[in-house]
Amino acid sequence: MARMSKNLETQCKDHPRTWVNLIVGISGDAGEHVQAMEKRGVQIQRRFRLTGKVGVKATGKMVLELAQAPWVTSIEEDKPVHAL
Amino acid sequence: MSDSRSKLTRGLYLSLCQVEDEPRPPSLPIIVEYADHLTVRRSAVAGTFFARSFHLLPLAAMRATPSAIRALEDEPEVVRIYEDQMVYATLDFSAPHINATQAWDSGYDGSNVKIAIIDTGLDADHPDFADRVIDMADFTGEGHGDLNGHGTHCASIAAGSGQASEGKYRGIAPGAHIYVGKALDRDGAGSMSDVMTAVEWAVDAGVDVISLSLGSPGPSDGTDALSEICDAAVDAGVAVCVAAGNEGPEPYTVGSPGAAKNAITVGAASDLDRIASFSSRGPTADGRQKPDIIFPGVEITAARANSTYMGSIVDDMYTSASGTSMATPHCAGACALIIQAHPGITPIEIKQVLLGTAVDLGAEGNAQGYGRADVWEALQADISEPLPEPDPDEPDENEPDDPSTSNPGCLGLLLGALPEEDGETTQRRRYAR
Repeated sequence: MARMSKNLETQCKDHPRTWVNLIVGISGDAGEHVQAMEKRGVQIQRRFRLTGKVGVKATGKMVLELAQAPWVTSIEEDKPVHAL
Repeated sequence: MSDSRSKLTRGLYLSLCQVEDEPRPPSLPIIVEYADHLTVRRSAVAGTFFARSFHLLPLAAMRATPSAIRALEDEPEVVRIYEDQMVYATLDFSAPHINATQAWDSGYDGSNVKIAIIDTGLDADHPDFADRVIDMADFTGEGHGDLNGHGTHCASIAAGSGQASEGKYRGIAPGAHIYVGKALDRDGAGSMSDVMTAVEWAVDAGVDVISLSLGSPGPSDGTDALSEICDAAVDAGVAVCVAAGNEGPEPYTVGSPGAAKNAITVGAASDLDRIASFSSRGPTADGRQKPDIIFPGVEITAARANSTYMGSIVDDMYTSASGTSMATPHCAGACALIIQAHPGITPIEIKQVLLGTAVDLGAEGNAQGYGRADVWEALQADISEPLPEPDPDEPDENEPDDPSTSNPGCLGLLLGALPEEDGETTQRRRYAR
């Protein structure tokens, strides 16, 4: 299972229909896996060349399904960032 | 105008003129210089409220009504009366404090080095950036301009020319080329993915240094997506300076991207080398020591973006603000000077020379890192031999298990990461001058 915080997992279980912005780490053929995510209804927002991660928008249910995919290495919330 | 015989400084004279005719004029903070120490306390004048005297000089700080100031002026023992002004740790103090001015005197100003400021945008019309903004990209949808002021302030600390202040508020690398990635909006807010996109843009633009005065609340173990992209930028050859955060003084308050393993994580101190209480403390969530180094970050006066009100406004062109945000672009500017002095130096080597030449402030490792930066010492480090790159995943045997343990010394921890040869450490030989 992909690395994911307990907090996010609980949030997805409690709110399976709520859309959430995420950053997903994937291994292997990125192009193929991005297509596979789109087929599941996941909206691809950005792809990061330097780390091979993908910025996506998905429902809680989709997140829990994605977490089971062997090529998904990490799922984390696209958290807010502030000037310090 | 004050006449030439007046004992009042011009600033005090003008302040006095403003309030003297008011029905109930306020008392003013002043410093009185006496002829000698004996007369300091003896000279009591009605309407003065003594605050303190100074043992090194025959001075007394007090508040005094306008009429009392005039009476003091007539006292034969009084030599001069000064306005007791607010003092700010402006760039004209912080730059010499980290010995950047010595680098300037030797011809290093960051010329042709590319610094990316990823923040709230930039007021590109501010005179301090004239002819040096090479590229700007907006990832917020608001346009390139700075509607907050934070980005302009940070950019001028790193690379402002100080043109609007006749060089007084000059940034650390005033010759550097500036790239602006706007990832935070008018409220100073954005998302990790906005910032990550801006980091990739900066790397693709070929910048040498990225400055990130932003973050999310801690703690992080450095494996979050933003910290990882900062490490990836370092791998791509870019020095990345990140703010430790403003959640101190509690431990475990370094968030993302402050927890990035290979980035230079910057904490803040005053110009008196007192670590700011707000400066986030390590260790990281996985137990690593952070911040890496300290730069000035308390009441820094730097450029003010047009029509913005961030910080304590000094005048139309400058404002004063505190935070690890202000310390971080000092570090970015320092990196630019080091790159100019040592073309081809790697980001890991830059980090090593900065950390290896830092001044130990005697604080805990998780408060000060390796200490307060000394830019001039870092510039003079001998980097003629290739440095072994420490494995960031390998625990440092010299690092104390207890995060509250005092820092064993600036070079002490760094030496532990490097091999010894013939009884003399590589690090010591390389940095000996």
